[in-house]
Amino acid sequence: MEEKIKLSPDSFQPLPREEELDNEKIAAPSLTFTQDAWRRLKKNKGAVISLFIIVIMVVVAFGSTPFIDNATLVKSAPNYANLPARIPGLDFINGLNGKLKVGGTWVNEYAQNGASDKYFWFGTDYLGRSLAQRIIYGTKISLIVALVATFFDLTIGVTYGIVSGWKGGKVDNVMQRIIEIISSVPNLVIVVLMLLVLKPGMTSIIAAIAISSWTTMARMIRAETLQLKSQEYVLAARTLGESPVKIALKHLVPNLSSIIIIQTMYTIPTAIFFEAFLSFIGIGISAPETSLGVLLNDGQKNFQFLPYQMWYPAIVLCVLMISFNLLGDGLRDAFDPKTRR
Amino acid sequence: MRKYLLKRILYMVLTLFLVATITFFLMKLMPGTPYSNQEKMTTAQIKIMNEQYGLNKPVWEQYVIYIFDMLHGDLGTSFQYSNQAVSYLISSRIGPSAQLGFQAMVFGLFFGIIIGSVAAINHNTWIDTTATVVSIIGKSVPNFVLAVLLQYYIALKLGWFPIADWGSFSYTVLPTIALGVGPLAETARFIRTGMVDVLNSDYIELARAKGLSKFGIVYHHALRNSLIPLVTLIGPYTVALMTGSMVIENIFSIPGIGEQFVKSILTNDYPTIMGVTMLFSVGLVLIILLTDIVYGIIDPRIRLAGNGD
Repeated sequence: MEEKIKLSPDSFQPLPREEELDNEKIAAPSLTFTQDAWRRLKKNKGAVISLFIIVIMVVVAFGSTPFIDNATLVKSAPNYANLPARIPGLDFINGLNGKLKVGGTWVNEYAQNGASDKYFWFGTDYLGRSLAQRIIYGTKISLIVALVATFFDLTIGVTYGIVSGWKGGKVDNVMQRIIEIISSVPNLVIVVLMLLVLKPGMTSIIAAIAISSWTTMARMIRAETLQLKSQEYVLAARTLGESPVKIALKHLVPNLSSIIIIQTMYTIPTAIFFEAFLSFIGIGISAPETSLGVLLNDGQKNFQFLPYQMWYPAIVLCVLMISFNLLGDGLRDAFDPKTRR
Repeated sequence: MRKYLLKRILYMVLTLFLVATITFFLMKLMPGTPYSNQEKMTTAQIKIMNEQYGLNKPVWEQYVIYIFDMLHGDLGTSFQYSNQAVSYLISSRIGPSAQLGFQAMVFGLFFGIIIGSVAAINHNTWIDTTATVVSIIGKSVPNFVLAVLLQYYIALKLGWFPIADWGSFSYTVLPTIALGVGPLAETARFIRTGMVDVLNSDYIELARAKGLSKFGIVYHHALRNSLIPLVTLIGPYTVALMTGSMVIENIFSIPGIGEQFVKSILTNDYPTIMGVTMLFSVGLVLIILLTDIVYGIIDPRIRLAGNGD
């Protein structure tokens, strides 16, 4: 396994005296914890590309807000119904030039429907609405859901975990039992029950996420807090009479930050999946709003004849999920180099 | 051990009782009535229906009756299917769901373990990279998207398997794959990480020094030790399979619990929703308890920690 190195007296040379003085000097600038993690993250190609994709998706999705509102989403144009994708400059690629395979031959749907001057990048749906607009709006919904889940993870999850771990004893016991009860019902059943009580839509999805998404975070934070609690610096802070809130904010949270970041990155894909799943089975987002799950469900019905209506939202959803998963893995490796490889 | 077990079972019963209570009151808060889908009924008819289903009694009385009946295995009568007992509805549909769930679990664990160990043995080679990519994709592609794609390309275009419905084994293949890919990806990642650790440990070095074959080392020493923590993932997998079944059974029109659950939600069939919720919770709680016990048996280190709790 190991290479054999031949050693000869020439391999050794006495060090000049001056250099000994610099032995203690640290050549590289010292890095903070975050800088160090960032440096490691940058080396991970997958994570960097994912981060890039996510940033682009966020910019496009939220930047589109002034252009795509409810009015654009409901405006239908039956003349343009079910047109395939047509992107200017790509006239030579069947499927992206407005042609659709009908009965084995490629037919230019745009010419047939008198829309030769129109370009729908992702085609249109059964009511002639631009699929590109709808997908961007759907992505925005997914990202909002992700944001909301993160928010509850960071507020309820972290606070709950710290309080439970810090207080210990009876309080801890009761709090853990509550988590046990919440997590002994499959999450989606909770979501479904919430959706039934409130009416389907964004509010009920958010409420459902608020109830069910933070339990894993709380558990992990509690376990870590239990360990941190017995550290000397926490003991010192307590002895000096620091208030528990300040100890939590100044000593615990910074030391929990890597767990918090990593766990958040795992909550996000789960939340995005939740929303898409619910909308897909018809109890999530409903008209006039749309989401990737709704688009997938619509596309699925016509998949045999209009495959693009399912493929585009599916690709966007999968890319979004893959990006968050890869970034999550990258962040885990960056913040917790011990577990790496 | 016995004390620990008793405590766990007590908490389990308490949990299930609370779940039943919460579900019951949530159902009472639900907007709409079970009759809103029907044609216009006169108030007299609605009154008769309410009396028949016991909906005219005060809520607390309905609650007591509900809990009492449930303890006797009676989950009420479905609103949607006239006069069909929910327990009958569930028991007649549990077969396909259980079979599908079991197959998906076995499929996911089996291939996940193989992919994960192959990746770990060939650590940092192209095989490892491929396995990682496969598991990331398997984890990221939602199972309902995969189900639709499998159904179209494998069943409809290639005609290898039936498109939908439930019957012989060939009907179960595609739904099993669609449902099992999530656990497969998770298992592969998990096994890979664990195995890389184990392969670097001292006793593997010793086995190698003893001159054991590569297969012998992996099978007898590395795999067995990396399999232990996998037991803890069975609980989360069960959740994934339960929720997954809701949509997979719909896509492949399998007459199972998940399909029934979605149908009941869309038709406000409270007793069935409550029944299925309870079934899911009981199943999950039992499986978590079972895996905890098994984990303690196969890994004595955990048992010691558990007793201290």
